[in-house]
Amino acid sequence: MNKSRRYLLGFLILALMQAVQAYAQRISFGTYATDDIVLTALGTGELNFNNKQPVIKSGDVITINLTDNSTAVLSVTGNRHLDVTLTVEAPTVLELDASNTIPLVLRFAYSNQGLAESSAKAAAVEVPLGFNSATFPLQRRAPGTPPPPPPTPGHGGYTAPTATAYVFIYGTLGTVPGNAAAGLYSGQINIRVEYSTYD
Amino acid sequence: MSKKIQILLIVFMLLAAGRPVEAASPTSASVSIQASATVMDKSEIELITVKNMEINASMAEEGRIYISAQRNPHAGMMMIKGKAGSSFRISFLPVAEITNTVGKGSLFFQYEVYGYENDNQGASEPIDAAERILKMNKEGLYYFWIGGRIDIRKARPGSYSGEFTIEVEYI
Repeated sequence: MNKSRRYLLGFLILALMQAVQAYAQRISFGTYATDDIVLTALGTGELNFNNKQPVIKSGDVITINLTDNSTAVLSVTGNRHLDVTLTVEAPTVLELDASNTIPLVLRFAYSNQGLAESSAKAAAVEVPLGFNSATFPLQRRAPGTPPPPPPTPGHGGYTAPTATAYVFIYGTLGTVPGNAAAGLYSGQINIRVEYSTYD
Repeated sequence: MSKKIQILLIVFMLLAAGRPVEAASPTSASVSIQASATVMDKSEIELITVKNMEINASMAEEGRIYISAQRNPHAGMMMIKGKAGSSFRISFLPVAEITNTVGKGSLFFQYEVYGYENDNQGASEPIDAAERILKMNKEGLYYFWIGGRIDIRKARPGSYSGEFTIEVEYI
């Protein structure tokens, strides 16, 4: 009886500790938990408007289009059978300091047809202006074919086939204000990708 | 199953459920990229006319005037002031119409443009209207000399005036 009491006390303390930890967690990804997803910024890993227009001055509006070489490019590699949700969080201005800013409107496109990076851009799907996230299959399913069977759940020794999709980020900077001070204006774009859970 | 084992099992399950998700496997990923633009002051690009081209009828030989951009002291001179060491290209119309300011008539002037990164007319090199890439010197300067050809055999008396416009574009 005395021994049982001791175990019960231990259980209560552990339960309290777990309550704190569990608060910060979300365990809803089920069977996909073993599939890695890798997001990589390619090239210089930046969106530099000077690559489109070397000299930027007051009054200019600089647009990097999807077809331009100056787009920022990222790759997403993961389980070929799954959908991913990509979220792009971008500032609305590039900033030199608090009193010197330039309006920024970003767009993004994805290419999920299993093409090589060099040809992926031409087949990219542009996400409409104003949206900052998109959900798409990591590898586009062939049109006109029936839905594939459910993906094989992860299990010991099994490696799910992977696919790589490409994401292109581009947009418009400006109008550069007439009183904009000279210098380097910058801002951070955060890109997040995760398997879609459709919760 | 004894009570002791039951309790141990509950404790074990709680411990298992409490493992941090991130450590198990990355099902999401994020990355940040930098968006940037270097803005230049407008005054960093300046095209300055140092000297206008001066022509008069006494320079004519057989009704034709030729001002050598490279050798003639009457050639016009312009200077670009910009970002040190930067590359740029220029464009201009090689032929311009100059008009009689006191009477009727106009003439066509065929420009000749030479350029050099230092103020040394004799060392300057020909620049045609095609987009040629040039480079500013360490002080951010580049010099142009403007000459040309004009046929005044059929010109009416008067005073002729026209403009030469050159466009500069950083690359």
